[in-house]
Amino acid sequence: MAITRRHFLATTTALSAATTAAVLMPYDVIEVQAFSQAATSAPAAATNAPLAVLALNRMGFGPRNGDIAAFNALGSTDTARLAAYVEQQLNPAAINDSMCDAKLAAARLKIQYDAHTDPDPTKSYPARHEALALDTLSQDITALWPRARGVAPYLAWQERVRPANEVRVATWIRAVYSKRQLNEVMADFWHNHFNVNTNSSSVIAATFPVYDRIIRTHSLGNFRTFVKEIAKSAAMMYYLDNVSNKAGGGEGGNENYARELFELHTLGSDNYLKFYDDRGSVGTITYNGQTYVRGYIDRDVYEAARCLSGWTLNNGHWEHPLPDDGTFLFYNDWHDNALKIVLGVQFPYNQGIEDAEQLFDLLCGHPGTARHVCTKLCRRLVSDTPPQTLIDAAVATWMANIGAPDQIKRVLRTILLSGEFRASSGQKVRRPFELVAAYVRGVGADLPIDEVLADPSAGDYWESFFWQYDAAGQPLFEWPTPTGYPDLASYWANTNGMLRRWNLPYLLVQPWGGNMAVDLRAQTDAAVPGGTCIQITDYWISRLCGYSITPGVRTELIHFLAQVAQGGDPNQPPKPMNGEPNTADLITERIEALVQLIAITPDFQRR
Amino acid sequence: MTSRRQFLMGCSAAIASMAGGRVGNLIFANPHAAGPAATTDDILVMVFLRGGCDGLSLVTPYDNPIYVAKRGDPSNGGLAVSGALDLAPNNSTFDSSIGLHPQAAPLKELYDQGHLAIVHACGLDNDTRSHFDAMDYIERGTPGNKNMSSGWLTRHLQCVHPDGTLPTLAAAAAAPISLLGEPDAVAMNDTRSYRLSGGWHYTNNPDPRYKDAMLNTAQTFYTGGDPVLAAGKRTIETIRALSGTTAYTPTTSYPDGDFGDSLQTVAQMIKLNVGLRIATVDLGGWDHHESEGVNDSWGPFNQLAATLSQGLQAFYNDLPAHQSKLTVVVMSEFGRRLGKNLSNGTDHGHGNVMLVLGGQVNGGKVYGTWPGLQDENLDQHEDLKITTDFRKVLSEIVVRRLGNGKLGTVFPGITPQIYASTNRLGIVNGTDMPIDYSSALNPVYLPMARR
Repeated sequence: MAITRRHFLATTTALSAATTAAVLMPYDVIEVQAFSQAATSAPAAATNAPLAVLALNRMGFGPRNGDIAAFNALGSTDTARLAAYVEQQLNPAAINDSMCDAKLAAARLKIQYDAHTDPDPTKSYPARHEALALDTLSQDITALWPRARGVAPYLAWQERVRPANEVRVATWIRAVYSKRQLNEVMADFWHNHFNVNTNSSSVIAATFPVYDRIIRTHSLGNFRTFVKEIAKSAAMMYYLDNVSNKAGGGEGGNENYARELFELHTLGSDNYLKFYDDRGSVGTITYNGQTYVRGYIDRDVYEAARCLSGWTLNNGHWEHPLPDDGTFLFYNDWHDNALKIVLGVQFPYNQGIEDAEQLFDLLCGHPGTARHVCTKLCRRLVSDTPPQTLIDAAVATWMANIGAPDQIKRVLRTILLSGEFRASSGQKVRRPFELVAAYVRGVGADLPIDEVLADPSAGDYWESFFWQYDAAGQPLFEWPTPTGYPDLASYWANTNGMLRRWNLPYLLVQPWGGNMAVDLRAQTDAAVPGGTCIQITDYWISRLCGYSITPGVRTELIHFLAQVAQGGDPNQPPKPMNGEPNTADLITERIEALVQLIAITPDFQRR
Repeated sequence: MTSRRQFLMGCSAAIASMAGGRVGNLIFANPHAAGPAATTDDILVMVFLRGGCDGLSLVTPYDNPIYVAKRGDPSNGGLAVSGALDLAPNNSTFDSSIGLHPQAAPLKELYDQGHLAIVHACGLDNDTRSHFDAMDYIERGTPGNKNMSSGWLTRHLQCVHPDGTLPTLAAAAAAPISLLGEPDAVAMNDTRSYRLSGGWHYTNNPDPRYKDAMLNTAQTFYTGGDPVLAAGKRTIETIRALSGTTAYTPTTSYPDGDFGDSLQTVAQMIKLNVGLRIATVDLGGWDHHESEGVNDSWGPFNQLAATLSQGLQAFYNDLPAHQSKLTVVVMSEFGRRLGKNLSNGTDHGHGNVMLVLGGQVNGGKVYGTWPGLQDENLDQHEDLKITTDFRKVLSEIVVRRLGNGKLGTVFPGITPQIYASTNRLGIVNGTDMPIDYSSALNPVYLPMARR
């Protein structure tokens, strides 16, 4: 198997941004709280969004035309409406999603490469140029594995990474069109919690539909089950190297996955007691009358790596050549069957595969894991610095349902029905994916559909779309480090990312920039025929934001559309001003600029 | 050096031409307005190697028998470096030869020319083996405390109040944690495309009544102090400042890729004379747990070592007129384990190298004390020990080159022993000043209010 270079840690800071606001230690509380004010203080003078907007922005990617009315029809009070919406969203299978299903079926993504001829016929392949449906999305690991293997018969690189690109397109389509919006938000959350980078190995790219399916299967389910399925996946095996974690020979196994399992997936770095060399001095905590070790030390990571030795794949390795189909393999010859002590618990000799099962039980049952993951959930859904009361409530639900098949769903219900959730308007910054998805939904644009044209270099709209979008700093499934994308305003509020986010509404509709389809002028004329500058501005504010944004910002938008500085009148329809050519195109361009400016407002940059 | 205002008037003719009472709106905020101005106009470029660069392969004790045994003989496919470029360390503590990785030939040239110094067995003296914690501690400048709410470069800038158009540049998609809490830090990976894209009539129309109409409207949205508003405001100021710049033509050949591009952006800003003082550049991808390939042309370490070395040489030689004020520091969060693992890679380790490049660097020497590789001399019996705290290296540059003696503010918790007058490294020229080890910080740092 060709081994692809690791690109871990290819970028910056986010690493620390991601750990910054993790669980607070008591002695840090004062400083951290003050920091959070500095880093994420609430917006100045913005009007609080109504609950419908808050719900649609947090449990989804913002309102489509009609979504706010649909929310408001769910009950007679905010409380009733929110409760009904949360229950609806927590049961995605019961939601009719036929529009999204139709868009997925109609999706086309080009595949294009030249013929390759080689003296070895197994290395040769013909040229290909087609706009294909997303056919790998439903394939299982054995069907996808030939793309991952990199052995005869050889496939073009584009064929090997195709499955990841199909997941990327499907993820955009679902975010924009699916009515199961919370399901999409949670898929995004868990993809980041259990981050893998599709660029770090062709195996990850080739098998990515399987990884995406694992995440979607368990995203509202039981965390312990979830962790095990992730551990067995080809994507995580290759991303964090456990596929080659073999014990013996006097040298160490590979501890990469074991370390991140502790530090990122379960207990979190706030439970890393790096200053302790021996377990005996670490101490204990109690939760609900149960006693637990206080945290983990390096020794626990080393021991966990031994527990996980032999967890690998049927990948054609010479020591276990067949089958070579990418399925999970526990290979006992690589397993360290000696005695181990993890988190103060002695594991018996010769437990084989049960070592890791016991490890997962210990980690997933620990209240430190509950606190680490619940804090991240609250940060995603509520605020960069979620109130401690809310985290405590989420942890309580988590621990009380530790074995429940719908454990995560119950935790989400606790968070989403809380007073803290309802009081959190405007406290999150939209990252690029959330911003663009919200814009596309708000203006009712259609995502591109690739086509084969006479010009072979044209028609690959998705590639252009990703080229433009990725520059904003959040290419999907390509965050290099296992932390996942940062979820804090302090990371995203920077000059480069800000400008890219402002430019995307313009770039993505250009024929060379994504070819997204939307006719803002026709929609304006239909909704507010002959409308004044004030009416048109208010219409597009309501479509994109769903509520009355900061008054001064609204005034400036109206003045732009009317060109008040050139003598225009806000109470008239937009007109060409001095020196401007008197064409319909000009007014169309100005309305398009207005809508882009609404997307540029600080109000739209938050959710 | 031009001030922000002069820069706008001079370099950005397009803006100046539309003047008429508008330039007043364009003066850059200087959040450090109060207090004395900086005492030097030196430039510090911090290059961070993300992922844990294998310093034992970059600056390698290549004929040390313990090293060869633990890394594996290269003639048997092991990870000990073969063909190292022997260096004269000018340092009596080494118990074996020391050499640069063969891909680091450009660094050998800089070393032999006396521009490059190396510090070995250096780093963050903290037990963490976590990338994220280690970077946090280093970049916040507070080992053991990752809740410090500002980066060490931010606090240095607070001390010296630079007054330039663009004093701080992160040549990346986002600013690193060392610049956390610095409201004026500009993050940019490309100067040429740094402009608002929108309908032509309201962005690029040469008619002054309509040109930048969208930008002017957007500017009214972004007033105020919270991070989103401050970042938007800084974005608009930067768009205006850069609108007169042209494409950059370097005088040397940079390596392809993000690292070379980022270094070129920094070089361009230095040559534009816009008051740049601090720049940060990242080179990631060093976390080679598997198939590190230090002796193979396909090897990830091999390729990164080449990119790093070629990039540093191209950058330094591209700036002959600025070398006397330029210091480049290269560091990583930790080194890698002395023994290789069973995947032909190396796991997270401890002590590492730091590189210091510049016109005022006393180069051609390996600084620090070599701790030895015998079991009892290793950290946790596994990893190269740290005999030089990274803050000792940075402190000397902060004091002697950047003219800032407030080490207690830049590195809260630093002890006089770390930068003691009796055992300074002498890695850069410059004047030592009285050092203030007290922390001038309030318990909490808040970004200063904007105008």
